[in-house]
Amino acid sequence: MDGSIALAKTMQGVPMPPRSSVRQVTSPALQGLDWFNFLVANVQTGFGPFIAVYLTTKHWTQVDIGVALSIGTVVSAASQLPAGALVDHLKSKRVAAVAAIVAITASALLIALLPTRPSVFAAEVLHGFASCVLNPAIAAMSLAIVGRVGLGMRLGRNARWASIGNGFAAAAMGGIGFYLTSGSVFGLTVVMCLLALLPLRAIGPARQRVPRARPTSDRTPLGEILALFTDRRLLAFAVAAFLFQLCDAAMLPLAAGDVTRQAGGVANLIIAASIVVPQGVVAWLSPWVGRTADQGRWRLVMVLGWAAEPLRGVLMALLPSTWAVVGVQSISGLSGAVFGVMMPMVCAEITRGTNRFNLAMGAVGLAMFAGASISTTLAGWLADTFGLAWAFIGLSAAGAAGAVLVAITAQWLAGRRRR
Amino acid sequence: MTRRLILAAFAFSALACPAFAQGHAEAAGSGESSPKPPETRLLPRTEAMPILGQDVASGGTVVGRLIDLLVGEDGQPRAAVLDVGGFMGMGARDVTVDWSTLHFAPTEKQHPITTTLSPDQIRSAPEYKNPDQPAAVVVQPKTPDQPPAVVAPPSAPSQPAAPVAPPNAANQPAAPAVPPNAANQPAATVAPPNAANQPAAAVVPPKP
Repeated sequence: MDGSIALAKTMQGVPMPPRSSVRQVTSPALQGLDWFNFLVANVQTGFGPFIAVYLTTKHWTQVDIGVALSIGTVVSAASQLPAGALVDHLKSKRVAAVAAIVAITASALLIALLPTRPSVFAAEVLHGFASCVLNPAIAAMSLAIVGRVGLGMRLGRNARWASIGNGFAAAAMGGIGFYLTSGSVFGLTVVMCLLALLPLRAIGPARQRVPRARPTSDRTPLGEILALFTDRRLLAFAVAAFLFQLCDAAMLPLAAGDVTRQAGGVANLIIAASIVVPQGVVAWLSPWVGRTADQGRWRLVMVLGWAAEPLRGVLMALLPSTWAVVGVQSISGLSGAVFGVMMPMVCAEITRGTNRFNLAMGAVGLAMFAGASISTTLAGWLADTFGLAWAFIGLSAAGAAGAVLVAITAQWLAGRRRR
Repeated sequence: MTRRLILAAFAFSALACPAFAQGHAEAAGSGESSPKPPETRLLPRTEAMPILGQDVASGGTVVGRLIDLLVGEDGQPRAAVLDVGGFMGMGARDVTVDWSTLHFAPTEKQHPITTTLSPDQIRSAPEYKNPDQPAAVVVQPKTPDQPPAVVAPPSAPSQPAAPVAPPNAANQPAAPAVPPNAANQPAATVAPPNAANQPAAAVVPPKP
């Protein structure tokens, strides 16, 4: 519970951005987006590593838990591109968001009420696909509401509210899972899902306006997709996102495992703080990231965010696994804020004038997903073979390569934007 | 039009998957049922308890959760796999502890499974990662100045049969080949049965 108080303090200290968009946007729609980001982050918390804990308490064997998680992984990987294409195809992005929330509600209900193999497997499939719809849909709704001019500011606000939601959910669900039953975490997830439908009313249908006269309009849909997937900016950014996640994903689990071993009775508190504190940093920094990006200083922001990851890895390797981890972990707040804001911005830039924004989001999402999946395996192998410190160094090397690549990508993006 | 289709597809997949699975399970169940019910004996809840996914306590605090067993050729458990630490699943580690360090009290409400190892001994244990590799099983340290039960007696009033595990002869860290000592003695001297838990009807091999 301490985390949410700390977060509330962080919020009070930071003034909200004075204006959120150049385009005339009704305030209820913007506040609706704020709330939606907050609640969706809450909803997704229970589906993280916690699901393995929950299934263990339901007498699941390790083999079956592994199968359930693998199903979720495979479905998420396979759904990225189709889900992106689907959201592109839908005129109202809100419909996509509603459908995804309904599916996630169903999946949380299945897990909470019927933790048998078929229903949990079905829930994993539903949740995997719905999540792949939800993330592009949020970005697409934002793009549809504020347009491209104020997009950075809006995405900064999205990232802020999502991180407040993440921090709040980790604190609240951690407390509920500890003091009540672990199943009640999914009960809370269902409540959050239903609440998330409310702000969608305020957001409106969120139809994306695609300019009619555009240079690519003479292309066939297939040619347009082909052009997108061979765009060197998208390819470079996808690889940079892959390397970012390769560096990022295993770092906290690796550090947290070592904290459990080294830090004794306060280990769980340290790990909880390592999850919640960076969310506060994201909430604090992401509006600045969005504003700076809106001012055109993309390369500065992107290089800062990507370079923070290898720095974190090196510090993790050097510092002991105690409270220092919380400090090092808070660096990931900067990279998290940058990634959260810049991934949709870059995709919007690359797909300017086309209706392929969510497909691009799906493509980068797939690269991210691959990076995150390989990260755990790679880090585990490095730690077993060379030791923990070298595992952090190895992850940092991948992150540093990503930082170099993202600098080049930002250069290419800037060249195109000036034209 | 499209939105209806999408919503319908989501709704259908939400409903269809479990429904299909249930039908499947019923079919499998009815196929196996034999005309004559198998021979059973009643195993009261006071005598035996389910252990998978249960908390393991040390000195009154929960240190982990029992998630798997390592069983030898003779069918006797040699070690238990515990899931230790972490917050919402983050930072959790699997470790193995010697079977003789665990004690089971089926009628105990608060902490039916306890360990004689200290929380720090368990937390700092090497991680159990690969089932194909030898497991580094935490055993009770053989220090003469320390009694085997290092843990402070918990406040629970009905402490069943004080764990007087004899010091283990085998203390090599890597090999889990601990001689099957008196670890598997059932906790027979238990407190009077409290709540009327449902006894299990265990299937027994038919008499010749």
